[in-house]
Amino acid sequence: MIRDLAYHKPDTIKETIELLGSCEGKTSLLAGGTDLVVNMRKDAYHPDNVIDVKGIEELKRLEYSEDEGLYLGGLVTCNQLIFSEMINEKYPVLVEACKKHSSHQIRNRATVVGNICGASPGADLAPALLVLGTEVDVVGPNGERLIPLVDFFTGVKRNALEEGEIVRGLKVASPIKGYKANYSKKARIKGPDLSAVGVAGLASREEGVVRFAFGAVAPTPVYLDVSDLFAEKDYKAAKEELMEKVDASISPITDVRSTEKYRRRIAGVYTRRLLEELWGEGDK
Amino acid sequence: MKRTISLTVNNRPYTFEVDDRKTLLEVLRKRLSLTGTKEGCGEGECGACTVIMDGQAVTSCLILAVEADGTDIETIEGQSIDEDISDVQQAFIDEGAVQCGFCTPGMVMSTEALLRRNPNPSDEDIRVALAGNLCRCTGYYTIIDAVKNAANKRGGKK
Amino acid sequence: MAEDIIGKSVERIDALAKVTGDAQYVHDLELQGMLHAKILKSPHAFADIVSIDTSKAEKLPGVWAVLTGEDVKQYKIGLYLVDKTILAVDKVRYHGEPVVAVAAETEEIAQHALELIEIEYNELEPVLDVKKATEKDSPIVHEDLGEYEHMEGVFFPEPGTNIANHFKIRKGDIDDGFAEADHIIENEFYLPQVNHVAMETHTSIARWKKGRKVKIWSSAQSPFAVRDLLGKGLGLPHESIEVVVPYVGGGFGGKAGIHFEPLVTLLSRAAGGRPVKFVASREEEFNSVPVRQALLSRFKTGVNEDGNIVAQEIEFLWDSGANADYGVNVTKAAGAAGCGPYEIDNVKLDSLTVYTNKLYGTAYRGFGHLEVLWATERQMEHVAKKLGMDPYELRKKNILRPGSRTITGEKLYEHSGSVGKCLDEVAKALNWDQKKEEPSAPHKARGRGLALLHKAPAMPTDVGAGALLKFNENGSVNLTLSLVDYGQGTYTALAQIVADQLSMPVDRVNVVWENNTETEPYDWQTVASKGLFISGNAVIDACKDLKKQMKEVAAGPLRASVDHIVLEDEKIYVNHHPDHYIEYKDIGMGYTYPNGNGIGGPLMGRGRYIAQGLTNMDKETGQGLPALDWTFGAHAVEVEIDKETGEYEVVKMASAFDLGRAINKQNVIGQIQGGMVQGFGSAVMEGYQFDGEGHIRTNTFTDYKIPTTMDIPKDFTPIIVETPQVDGPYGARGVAEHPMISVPPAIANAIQDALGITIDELPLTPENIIEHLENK
Repeated sequence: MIRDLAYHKPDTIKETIELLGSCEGKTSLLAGGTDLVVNMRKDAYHPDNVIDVKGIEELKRLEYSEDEGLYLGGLVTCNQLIFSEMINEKYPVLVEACKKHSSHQIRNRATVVGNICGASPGADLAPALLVLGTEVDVVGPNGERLIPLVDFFTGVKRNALEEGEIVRGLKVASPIKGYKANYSKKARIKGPDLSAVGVAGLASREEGVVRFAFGAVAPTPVYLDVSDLFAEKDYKAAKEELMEKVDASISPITDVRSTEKYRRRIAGVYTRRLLEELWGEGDK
Repeated sequence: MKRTISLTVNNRPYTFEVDDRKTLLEVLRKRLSLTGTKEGCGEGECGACTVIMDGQAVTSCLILAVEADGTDIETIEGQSIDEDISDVQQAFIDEGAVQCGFCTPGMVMSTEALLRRNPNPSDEDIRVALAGNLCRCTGYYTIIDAVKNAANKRGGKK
Repeated sequence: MAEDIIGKSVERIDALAKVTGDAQYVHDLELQGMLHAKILKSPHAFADIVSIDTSKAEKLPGVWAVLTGEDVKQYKIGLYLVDKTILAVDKVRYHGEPVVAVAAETEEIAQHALELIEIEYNELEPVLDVKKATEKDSPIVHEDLGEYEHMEGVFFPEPGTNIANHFKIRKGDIDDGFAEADHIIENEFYLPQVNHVAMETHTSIARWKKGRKVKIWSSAQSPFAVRDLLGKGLGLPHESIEVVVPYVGGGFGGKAGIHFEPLVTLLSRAAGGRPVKFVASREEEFNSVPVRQALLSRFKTGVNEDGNIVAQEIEFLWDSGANADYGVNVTKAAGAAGCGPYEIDNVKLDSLTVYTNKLYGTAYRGFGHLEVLWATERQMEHVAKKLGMDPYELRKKNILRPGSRTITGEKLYEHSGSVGKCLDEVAKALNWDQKKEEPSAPHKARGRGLALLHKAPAMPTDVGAGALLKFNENGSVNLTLSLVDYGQGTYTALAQIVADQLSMPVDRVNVVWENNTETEPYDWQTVASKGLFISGNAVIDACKDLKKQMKEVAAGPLRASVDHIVLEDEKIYVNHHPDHYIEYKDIGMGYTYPNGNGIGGPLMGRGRYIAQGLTNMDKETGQGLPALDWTFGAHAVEVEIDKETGEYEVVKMASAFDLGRAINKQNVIGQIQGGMVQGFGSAVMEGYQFDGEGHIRTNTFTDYKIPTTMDIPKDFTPIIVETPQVDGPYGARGVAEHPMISVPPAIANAIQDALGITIDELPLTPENIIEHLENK
């Protein structure tokens, strides 16, 4: 049951920021609502004000250019990415992550930015966006700023936004030459489920880049750029060190979805398999 | 707080006042008496409340009614006129895809949305499209058969 | 037409209503002036209630009734062991137990009222471990067990302990048996609580009426059980209670017996007769309604070198949770099948219902048999491993056959059905005699597993049901009965039976969907896979009665003896003059002669059936005849497992059931598929989790997962075996519950075959597999 609230639907970001400044009590932004409405219904969270941002045209931007990379506006949904030819061609790892995110109905509503702003440790989009190189485009009462995604997550369900700020969109770097990337997810079932472990990997032999990112194995998503490792050492040694690094960087817990021990194992196995898939030994 | 919204439900225009905190599901069921859309969990996990909103399958329990202002909604009641039922509904009957029936309206709506965007779904496409619709009776086999059956019929009509 | 109708896949009679959203469930019903109920639930697993202050809630505008345990403590509700109050009285015994109930004009007001209620608890040390619960120094969950009313001579509670029932089987001489054995194999098996997850949550509406009467609309499996238990519990005469059951969104045992009906009745009474509706939220469905019990089993098996099992000693500790009303019967019924479908001469079995401070147990599809056969079918695999014997051969050697005696001493016949045929069918479907396929990758392993099952209806010895057939003016018939079709498809099968018996098209048979205790003949409950058997026989009886009346009335105008009158294709004629006939429509309401004389009057067929020849089981030995019919079955499974992650896929599966005769093939296949997938859920992913204080950690769909379209085995073959049951309608026996039984051991046995690990606790998660691989 949802408690009484005041619903607002501004047309512009400016108006939204003004509302955020003027509304009394707790205020939430509403895009897809797939997290917010669940929490309101469970009474886990009850805002006095809900600002529906779906009327803001600017947030619907989904653009790509070779130089600038991808701009992914605050209202772009998971299914928009899945069904976008451009995304399938340039950033297939985002498609993989979106497909593993939830059910079809939820993906029709859930936004990529919402997944990031929720800052859940297991947010499915976080690892993929981290390895691609993403900045968060933030607008607030004091102007605009770009926050590297890796710095955006500050704790379990906490992000770096300050009072009155909203996320306008995400800037994803241009694809690295010759790169391959993928996202592996471990959940309890094959159907829609929250992540128990999420691993995204990206590698480019041409550019000597190797990156991994992990979800659901620490209070915030974990990002590892191990390009140097693969530049300095031979493949086997680099791989071995990567495995050690992964184990040292994560701090999983035991909960209803999995155990600490098993999460460590899966993070390791998935990392190794992704590495072999994206940059196999024979490839070097 | 309350506000007035206008929307189309099953091709019929409505304008009425609604409480900001009411969900689309509550409004469909209580205000418009469209009880074919079911509530199985209230957290977007079971799909019993699936309706088509502006052409897309959505879980109506996670949408505030005020968000539906200006949209076009299709519910299970809009899929048939008297005895004249949709090919999806007929396929569900023919394949024996109905047991207790509580998930069926949501299943039919998810199937309808799938076949509109993908008239020739693969086995995998069907499983993915219906993964957000829980059924505890059938084990899904006959439901998957029904979707294939409906797709074939629809393909045949073209 | 008529002669083909049995066995045909006739379209479900409820299908159109359901695909169009036209079918109305209690969820969908609204009555004029209806109030909404909400309940405040216990946050603790075990605590004394020190005080409850509802004064602020009562003053809230829009609140019409507030009830606490103090208001309802004189009423006890139960079927077998009456140990449950309508709201918690003095103590709470599980996390989620209803403590206070409110009825208000809107759900919002009711919710607000709950927030104004203050309760002080004094937490007690909860009893969470079923083994410890049976020890002498354990805290006692029900100190008044000795005073609880129960079915005497059937259930045996042990006051002063946590044991709500002790069921025993003693067959042969267990010591002699073990002395004779070449090997003795001992193991322990466990499985956790599981939720039914019917898609429609429990929902009830009650309207209290003047003159101490009540009308109830409920999502119940058994309208007469609701009436009976409500009447006994609240001290109301049966005739003052009307129970209506419209469409029900799944049951699986979870809606058997009685649930929130007494609470809404008392709320409606307290609210001056305004109707009150309670809809369990999904969270309440997970933590305030009963579940399938957890079970800890200990097996000791004596076997000879040649594979002949000569002795078996079994202890079942059923974690019944905070109430054991239904649990005691699960303990008994499943205990009576405790050795699986095998003939073993020397058996000692003790099956104990144990109270703990967890969610309480009730019927769930299979009624204890999934739990028991999880253990027996895993134990068979341990035995096979010990002997180095093919699990198929070991089973084949020991199965029940015509002439065998079950562990309760019942003799089986050819017509009792054949587990051997089921075993052979599934073994054939998986090419058991050929080598397994190679795994698809080096880090994967393949394995195959078998498991057998059997189950008889778990019910009192004297269960009966009635059926009533009434002609309509156009010669069609209405069938009324109070068996509930909440998805099984029984009504369609019964319509086929009527069509065949009366020689008329099936669409001329209207099975009245909504059930009502005021107008329909009695049925005990819709449970136990006995529906088609007992009601099918009652319907045949009703058809016979109707046909007799039709012939008697027609004998006059046809000027013939009833012995020579034939009913065919909706016509009545003398056998040698088929062209000179009376149509059903001209006799259903009585026959009218050309001159205006009427005879006969409206015809009504009355039918009844009662289980015959069943006996109670002996208190000390468990010997007796509890089984209406045995349905046997078998599963064969092939898995492919990732050895590094424990993730696996059921790549191929076949299940066979000897169901006597399929009245409607399509619906039978639907039952098999759906049941198998429920069993698959129990095997692979389902199970309640509790924290160290007994709090439920899995009370939403986010935390409690069930199979989706993406989880089910892709290659599944359901197989129907038909050995007719002599006393079943058209030879049919029940198959509603059976498909889910023994799915878990079939998969675990396949995992054992693939990896050499023996997993004896459910669910079979990848974590569980890795844990065993690491400890191998």
